Amino acid sequence: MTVSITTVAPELLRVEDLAVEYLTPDGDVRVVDDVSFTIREGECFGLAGESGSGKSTVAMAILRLLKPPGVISGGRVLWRGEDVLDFDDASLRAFRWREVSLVMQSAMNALNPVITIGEQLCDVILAHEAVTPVQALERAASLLELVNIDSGRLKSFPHELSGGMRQRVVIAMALALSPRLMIMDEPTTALDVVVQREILAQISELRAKLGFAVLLVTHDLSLMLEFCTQVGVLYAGRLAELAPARELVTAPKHPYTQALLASIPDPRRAVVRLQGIPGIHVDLRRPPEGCRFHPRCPRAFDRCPEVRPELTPLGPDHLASCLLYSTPPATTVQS
Amino acid sequence: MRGLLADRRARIGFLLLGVSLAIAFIGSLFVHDPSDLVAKPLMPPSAAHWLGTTGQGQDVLAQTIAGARASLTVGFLVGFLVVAIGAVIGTIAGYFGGWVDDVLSLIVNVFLVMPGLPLMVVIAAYLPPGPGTIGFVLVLTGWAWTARVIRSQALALRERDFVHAAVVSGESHWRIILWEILPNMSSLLASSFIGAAIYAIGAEVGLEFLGLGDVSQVTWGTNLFWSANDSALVTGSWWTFVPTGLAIAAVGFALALLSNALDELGNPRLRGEDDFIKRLRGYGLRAGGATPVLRRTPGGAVESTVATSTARAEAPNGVARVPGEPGKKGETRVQP
Repeated sequence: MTVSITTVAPELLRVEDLAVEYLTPDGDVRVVDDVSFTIREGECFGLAGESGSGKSTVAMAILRLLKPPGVISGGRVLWRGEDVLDFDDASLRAFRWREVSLVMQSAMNALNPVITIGEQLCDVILAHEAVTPVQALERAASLLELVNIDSGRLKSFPHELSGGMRQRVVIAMALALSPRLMIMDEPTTALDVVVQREILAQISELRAKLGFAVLLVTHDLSLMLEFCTQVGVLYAGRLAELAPARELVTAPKHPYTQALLASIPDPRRAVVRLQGIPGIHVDLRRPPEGCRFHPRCPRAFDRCPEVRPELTPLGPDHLASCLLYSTPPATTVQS
Repeated sequence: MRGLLADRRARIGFLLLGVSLAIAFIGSLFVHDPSDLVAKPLMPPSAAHWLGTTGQGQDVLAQTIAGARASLTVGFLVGFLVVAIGAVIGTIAGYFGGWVDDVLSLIVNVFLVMPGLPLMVVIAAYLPPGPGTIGFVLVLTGWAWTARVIRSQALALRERDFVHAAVVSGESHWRIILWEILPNMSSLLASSFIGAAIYAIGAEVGLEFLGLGDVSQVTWGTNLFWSANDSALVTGSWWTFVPTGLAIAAVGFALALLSNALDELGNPRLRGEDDFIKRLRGYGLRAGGATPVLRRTPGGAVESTVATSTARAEAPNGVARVPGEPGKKGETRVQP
């Protein structure tokens, strides 16, 4: 089912071999290394990975919003065929928010505490569209209604709202210009589980109504698997696996994905000791040769430290970068 | 400390200050009594008297070195006291708030609105002259500004979670102030100290130059006072005031360098950002706008041609292009 939908919808965003480096005084660190994926119209794409894997960096690089000392050092970000990396300031201004909007992690910090949320919503609309302040206020009211907040709340200050409401205001703000893609960088991490669910249900509903695509960045794999259609798993700045969410749960291919899934507790099963991943995350200043996961990989074999694995197709929309699946097939697997 | 020494400005500052202090406190042990009349008055620099003699026939080198000891002692002592008093009053006012803050802020404000220099002149004129008096006057008129700055910092820190946690865990007020709040202000205190020391040395010299110090003592200020008194400018005897003036400038410069370096140390981001901006400029890109795009050649090095001014003109959208990457798939870029 998933497959038929994704093949029909036209391509919205294609990230090709994206590379990001941080130019630090202690040397250049390549934090995103040749990451490629595609987001189609209306699709919900998830980027998963542990802290420091580069998932937020990818999201920010797409919007060209990476802060110093980050630079994009290669690849292409094609928005409906146009390379965002070639945009000048004016086209970036139109591209951001009108085409792609952003929902940040902390709604507390994304909202100005001394301005009412109504004014802040109007600001977005007035900055991008030639409308009168009255029209903007009407739009703001309907935006709030869209995320199930009473329009009487327009006059409220951010501190007068709960955390979940604030995050919904931020989402309303992201929807203000009807973007085709909404990038959500850990949108629910600061919220409790119940509110998390509400927010995500809301986004699903809005997505069905308005038809925008979502790029969800989170370390919460279970949340992502439930919410997304296609998921990319990042490890140390490289894509480990790219698969439909359903397939990722039932048949994960990359040992890293398998290990990640093994660390999620199953409430229905008996209490077992969860499997962690041994070792520590890669030091990106001195990444290991070959496959970056091999020092921690339970299925590593002799070629892993030598050969850099390429993303290999393993099924429809399913790719993994692991030598276990490359040709010639690995024969010397040690367990 | 190692971070501080890695900074070139800090190294120069330390060197300059160290040499000044060494000359002032060790060198002064080796020169003879600066008040001795050793030669004819107003002799230009010579082998016997390297910096010449004053209008009274004293050795200028000995006077400058002895003056350094007196002036630097007063300067640093005043700097320390200004910061100490300011920090105590400021943190107490900021931390306790309420009526304590009201009373202390009132006092601080009174001292702030009083015009500093006339007050200094008046008080210094009434009290018996001497370095102690000058120091007292400088502390009295100088502490309020530091107190004000520290108070606002303490107000902000008081609301931080770690201070609340300390209160809840039962730490005493004094422990919270000394262990939780003050260490968070260390870079502010350090730069306040340096600022206060520069101010103290300058103001001390100024007051003594006006004749408000004890003119029988040898300090930088009285050196300049006597130089003016003996009409050094009219007689053209530059050597009576230039050495002292240069010494004051050198110490002030050293302290300013240290203050600058401390600022970057307290905020390491400043340094990283400087470095980043410099490198981008090298590639003909500017920082501050959208994330720059830096295409690398297969060898890993950025083509140096992008650093030319033509590339700069061709890169209005923050993209530095380097000739195509033939080894890469999907890389068929054309120069604009």
